[in-house]
Amino acid sequence: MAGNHKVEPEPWIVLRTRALESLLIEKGLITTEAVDKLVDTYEHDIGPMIGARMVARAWLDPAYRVRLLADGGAAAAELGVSAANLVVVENTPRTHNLVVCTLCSCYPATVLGLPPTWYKSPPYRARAVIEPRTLLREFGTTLPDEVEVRVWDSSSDVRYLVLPERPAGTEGLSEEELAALVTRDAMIGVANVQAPAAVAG
Amino acid sequence: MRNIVVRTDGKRMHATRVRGQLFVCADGCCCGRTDQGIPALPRDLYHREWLRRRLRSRVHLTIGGCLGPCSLANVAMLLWGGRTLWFHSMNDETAVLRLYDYIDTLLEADTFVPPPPALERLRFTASSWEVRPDGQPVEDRRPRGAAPMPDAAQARVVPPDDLLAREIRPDRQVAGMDDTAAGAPRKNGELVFHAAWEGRAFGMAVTLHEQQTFVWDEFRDRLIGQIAAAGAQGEPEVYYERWLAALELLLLDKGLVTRDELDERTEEYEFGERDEVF
Repeated sequence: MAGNHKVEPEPWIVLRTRALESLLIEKGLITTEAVDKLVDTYEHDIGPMIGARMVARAWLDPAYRVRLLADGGAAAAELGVSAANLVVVENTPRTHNLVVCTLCSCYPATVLGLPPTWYKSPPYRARAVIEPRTLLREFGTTLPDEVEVRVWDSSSDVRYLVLPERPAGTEGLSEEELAALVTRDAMIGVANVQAPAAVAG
Repeated sequence: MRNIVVRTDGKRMHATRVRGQLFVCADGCCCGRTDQGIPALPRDLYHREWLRRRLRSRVHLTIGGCLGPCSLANVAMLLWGGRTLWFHSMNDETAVLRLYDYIDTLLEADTFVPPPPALERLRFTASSWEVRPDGQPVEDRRPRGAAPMPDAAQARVVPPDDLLAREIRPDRQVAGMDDTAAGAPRKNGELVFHAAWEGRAFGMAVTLHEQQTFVWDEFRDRLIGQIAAAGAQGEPEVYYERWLAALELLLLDKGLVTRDELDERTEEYEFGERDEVF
């Protein structure tokens, strides 16, 4: 062993991941190219801009909004996005929706990309259910008492997406301009969509 | 006290019976090899202190080649009273002097006493017959096959109280985040994967699922089990470590990979017998 030892010892998890991939390739179960392509897609092509387009379209097209709320998967398919099991919940002046996965990290990845780190953290998963209002305040979202907070627990069968309220002062904006205002956090429900002036400020 | 041993040539020789033996790794593949990015090692000090403290007849000192766990260089091993005490990161004079002070304490006490806290922090286990200093199971990095898997439909999460006290630190959108060495700009303002291995672990699971090697719920159930088991043990929250453990467990359960071949392959990478990187 002496002499050919690796220069910088690597953490166990790195070696373990490499060992697993090496074995799976050897057994013909995966190819490096397939994994490369998938990682690249999730790093670059899939992200919240897809969900934001759906939200913007729903704001502009009442018929699309109805279809989106009735069957999220079908409404996503209209834009060429595969999101089976997608359920869209709508924020109103009286209702605010918040999405969590209490058991792990179920998330509508094809329309939002991969979940942020905090979404997967035990405190978020626990506190979204127990004290959503306090949690929302920590995200900078303070809701009036009369607004009801509804918490949706995702699973592999149902993935939730929040349709945020369209902010005032956005009349006349195009679908593209509206989509640019919609953040990932707003579609998880930890934030509201800000009007363009607030964004610029 | 004479300890006569008869050699194969018939000569009757005396062998000193020491109280302990200190092994210092210094001439191997890693320890002290600054050319390999390993911290320097106070090799001379080991010998000087051993002489100065007049340990010759009581503690044998062996400064030599590779002792084993290269990932923890610099390493020293103390045999004492039938125990094997390993110490890692023995990089500076303070650590070496602490080790010799401890040896003096052992000699004086005439019975086993545990190392002082500053030294205990550097202690580890490298043999299957010694328990880990932290009392954790030795195979604690392996997937937990025995962990109960909550029924996804019925399980209620009962969070420990301390979770409630912890504040969430939302990673705000990073406005105008440019291309940096840290990675490509992310459309959601956050790195998708914090290290390459996380992406590989993610990519392997999703690729296998897309090829219908398993159905997603089979993976998800195990992921929930791994997250719950790690949480119960108070382990740090490294999400993709749980992810990899869940994937490993699923592949073991399906008989697509065996634990032995995975352990062996991991060691081949650790000892540089393989070096392809994906």
